[in-house]
Amino acid sequence: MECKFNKIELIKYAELKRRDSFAFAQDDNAIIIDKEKKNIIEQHLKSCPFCQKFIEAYQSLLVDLKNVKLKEKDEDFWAVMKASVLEKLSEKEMESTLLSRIKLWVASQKNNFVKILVTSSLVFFLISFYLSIQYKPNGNNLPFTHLSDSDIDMMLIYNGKYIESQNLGTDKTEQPDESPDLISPVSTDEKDSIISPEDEFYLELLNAKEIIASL
Amino acid sequence: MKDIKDNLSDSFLISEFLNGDDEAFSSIVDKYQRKIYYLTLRFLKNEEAAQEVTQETFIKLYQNLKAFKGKSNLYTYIYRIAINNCKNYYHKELKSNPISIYDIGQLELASSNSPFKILKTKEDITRVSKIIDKLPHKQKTTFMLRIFEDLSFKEIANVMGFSINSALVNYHIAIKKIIKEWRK
Repeated sequence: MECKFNKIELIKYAELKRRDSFAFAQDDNAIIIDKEKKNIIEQHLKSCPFCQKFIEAYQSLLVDLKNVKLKEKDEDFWAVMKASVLEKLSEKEMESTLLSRIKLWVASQKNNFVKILVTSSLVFFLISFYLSIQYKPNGNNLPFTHLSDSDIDMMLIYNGKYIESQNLGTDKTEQPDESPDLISPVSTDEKDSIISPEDEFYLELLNAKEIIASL
Repeated sequence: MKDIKDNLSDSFLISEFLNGDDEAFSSIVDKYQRKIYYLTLRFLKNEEAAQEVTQETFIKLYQNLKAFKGKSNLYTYIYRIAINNCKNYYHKELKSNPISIYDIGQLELASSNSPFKILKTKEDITRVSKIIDKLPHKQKTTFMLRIFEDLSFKEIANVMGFSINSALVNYHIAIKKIIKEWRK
């Protein structure tokens, strides 16, 4: 059956022994035990084989573990390690410098951003206001709906008729719906095959003038 | 153990660094890189991981050294960063893909004068290492800092951020578990 003796006290005792043997942990007050307790522990260890074995196992384990050494690295290894630490640090430093510069720039430009925002909002408002006055939504003042005389001429030439609905807001004279005389004298086939687009245009204009004159 | 001279030297290096001398930090790296590397190697048992964590430890130290108030020793401060880094690295990289206990090639058995030698072969070391690895983080760290780094319980308490009594109790539980498992 396991001994109920306080194992923390036993470990403190063992650590004290270790400290005295190896001159280690000189400032370790946590393991200091008074003389009275020390005597009690020593008396107990003499009479209890279980605690005796525990202390022996503990001391042996520590000594053995401390004797397990990791292989030493050569000086080159440490030089490379140090260099890579310093290199990484300079990289981080550069990153943070760049980041802080951007932050500073943003902070310094803050007032300008506000000015630009206010000005552009004002300009936008003024343009919207001007447009709302200039162009009323009844469609009469939309510039692309106003047809000129030449537009009507061209419409007559190509469509053979003048469509009132396309001349929004104008008071142009009505034209006949359909007339055989208004049909272009040049056939489509001929246009495609012989006449160039410029010639075709003048030819049609000539025909149109003749037709209008004969009316 | 660190003596007073070493501590003075640390505080001198810190003050030099705070005055803008980057060479002082280079000296700190020089002074502690071995200790930190071997500590992380014992924790992670992987050379590449230990190198990475050691480098990361010094980078974090550099970033936080300006906030270091000198309430604890510099080396306990560095140990704390290193142990936190090991813990994070282990959970991030190694937990799902655990590395076999102590690569035998990295170990050397020194001759021992112990009258009750327990660890006679490399297989024994591997076995005890497995037992140590199975300990909860606090117990394992306390044990390793005490055994391999020779820190006092006060220093361990500083590194781990708990009381001296907690350090003692964690150490005691770790020892009890290791011996119990070893005897099985």
